[in-house]
Amino acid sequence: MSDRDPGDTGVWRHPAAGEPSWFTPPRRVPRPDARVWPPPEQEARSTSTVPIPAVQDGPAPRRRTWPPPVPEPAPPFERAPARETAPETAPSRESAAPRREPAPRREPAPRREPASAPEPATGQAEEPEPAGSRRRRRPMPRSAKVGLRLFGAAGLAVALIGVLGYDELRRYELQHPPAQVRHIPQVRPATLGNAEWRVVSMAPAADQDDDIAERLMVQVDLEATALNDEGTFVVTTPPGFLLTDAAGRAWLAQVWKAPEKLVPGTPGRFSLLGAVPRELAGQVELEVWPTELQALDASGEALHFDR
Amino acid sequence: MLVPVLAVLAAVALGAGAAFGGLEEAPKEQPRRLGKGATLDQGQMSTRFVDAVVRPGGEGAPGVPGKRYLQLHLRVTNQDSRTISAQAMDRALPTVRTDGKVFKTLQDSRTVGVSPHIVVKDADPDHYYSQLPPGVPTDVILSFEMPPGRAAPKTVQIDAVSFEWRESFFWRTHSWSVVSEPAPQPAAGPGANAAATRYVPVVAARVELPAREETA
Amino acid sequence: MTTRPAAPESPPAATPAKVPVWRRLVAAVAGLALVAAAVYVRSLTLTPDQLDDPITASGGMSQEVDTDLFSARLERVEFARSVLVKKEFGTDRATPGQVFLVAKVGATAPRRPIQLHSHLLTADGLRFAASDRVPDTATLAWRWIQPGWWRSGYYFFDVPADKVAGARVVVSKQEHTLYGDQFYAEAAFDMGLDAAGARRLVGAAKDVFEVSG
Repeated sequence: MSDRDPGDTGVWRHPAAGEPSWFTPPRRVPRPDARVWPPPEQEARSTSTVPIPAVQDGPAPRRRTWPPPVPEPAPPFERAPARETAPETAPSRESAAPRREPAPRREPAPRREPASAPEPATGQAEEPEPAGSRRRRRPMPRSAKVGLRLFGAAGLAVALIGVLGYDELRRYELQHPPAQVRHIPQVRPATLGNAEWRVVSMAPAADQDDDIAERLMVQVDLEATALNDEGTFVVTTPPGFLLTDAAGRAWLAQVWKAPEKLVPGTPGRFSLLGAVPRELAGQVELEVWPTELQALDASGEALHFDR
Repeated sequence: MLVPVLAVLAAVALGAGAAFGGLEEAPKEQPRRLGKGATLDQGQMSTRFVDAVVRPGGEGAPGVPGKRYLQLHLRVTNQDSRTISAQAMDRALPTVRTDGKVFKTLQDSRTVGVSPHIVVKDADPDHYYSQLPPGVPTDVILSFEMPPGRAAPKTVQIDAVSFEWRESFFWRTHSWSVVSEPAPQPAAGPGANAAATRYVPVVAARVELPAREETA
Repeated sequence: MTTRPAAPESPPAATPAKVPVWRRLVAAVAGLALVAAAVYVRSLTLTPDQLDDPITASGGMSQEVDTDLFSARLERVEFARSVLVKKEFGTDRATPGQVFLVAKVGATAPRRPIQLHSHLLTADGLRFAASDRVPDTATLAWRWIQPGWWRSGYYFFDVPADKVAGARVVVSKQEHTLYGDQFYAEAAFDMGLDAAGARRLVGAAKDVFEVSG
């Protein structure tokens, strides 16, 4: 401490071992200067030789110039912020003592030390306690130690994969919102976006396209009522219509006839045509999605008219 | 032993450095000058500059009848591994000048000036296509509509860039990108933003084609 | 490697003598094997370019290939020197730059309607998009593939005849560049053509291939 520049607090020169960090308990406050050299009991004797005693007690510790001491076999890092000008006392030095991490090493228990070292995941998570109680414990059995280590590794791996997976999932869902389908009885109108939809009729179409035998064209008549000016855009960019069965399969219903324009508040008639398997023609139900892309990707809000 | 050798080496290095112009910045490599019929390897594609014609549109030529078009005829071989659009030639030939005046240029990947209609032409006179299949030499026409009343130019100068197969810094994936260099800073005035370095394409070759006019 | 952490744990003085030599050897070999395995596994990691590639399900001629979003089969491959597109009003003739490879593909979807695009992947890794000389309306790309039935259609590729041998027809959902999922599975069909077969098929190319659309 004393062979360095007195203005140097040591905070920047050393690795941040003593810096508060996310794992240090928050209750610790910066300590006042702790005088470690010369020891306090020698101070009384030395004051008699110094011509101006006021320097010793004054509020400017940076002016103290001690002779170079015998190197203390001591902590690799001693924190002594120069900004703190309160004169140090013996109790403050005591309160600082448990803070020094290497302090327990001086305890006469070198044989037990590795026993607690290799389990950083679990054992050392608590704050370092005064080096008494823990040291005197019986060494942990080998199987427990290996198990703990394995458990820690597996737990960390699972946690890492879980966090990454959750992040990816969140990102995917933001780009690709999951489907929120509202089920509505077919006889009732329902609102999607800025328009209200009502199913008028749903029946096999009069003109059948016969190039594939397994399918039947179904015609759906719908009434759309724009709730506001934005709702009138359903005429130019119609939403995505699907015909679905109970198994979750879906067939496209494409707009065949649409009104020329829509006036807010006045219903307009849409006719859709969709090909479905012949045997399901009487069972399919209509789904309305905001756009055709969303209908195909099953993404976003939708209406499902239950029969 | 070591000291004389080092001294000789240092002297040689110094001499060589001085002989090659010292520590001055090397003069910038000038773009190659190419003429009619020359072929330029642009990385993603290899382009032969065939012809420059001003001709009216329609009747087997792109454009509508009654308007005149400056047509740059190229023969492009796609050296990519996949089919690309002929529209890529807009980026590959960023600047076209007629008699030294800028006709079309790309600024921040937007076309300024007359934007070309780029088509692929084949034997069939009625159809124009847009694909450049990989490895197949294809005739490409860049067709610029001439402003009405402007006389046909005597020469056309084309700035051609080259592409490199570059790794994206962020995604680490590869794609063709135009070889660029930081734009020369105007003057570091108080308003100049040093962080926003603009990159401009390096002109790999400057092609000069004589232009001729064809009437219908 | 494996013995290291365990060693200081037993009483320190007795440790060196108690572990027999053969166990140390086994441990050393096991450690070396683990290190080698770790290095080997690193070599299996995909490059970012490969990570962006779609997952490909492969099959041969007239073999059904299932992916998550569709099932498809390559029904027939033939060549043509021109394609006549019969439209509702009039016809349109498409001529190839090289020769048209006509792939007849059938497809169905398990759950939702889908539209399928196609490209041709040659043996040397070139990727030919379906030709724009034949309008999309005449190809399967225009049709909706829906659950419950198979739908067949054609894809037309304008390829040099010498690139045909060993080429594969790949069918995929075309990703929307700005919206939704960018990673769809694709189905690849090996046409099973060697150089001789390709030459024979190209030699037997039809002058006119008629298609409606």
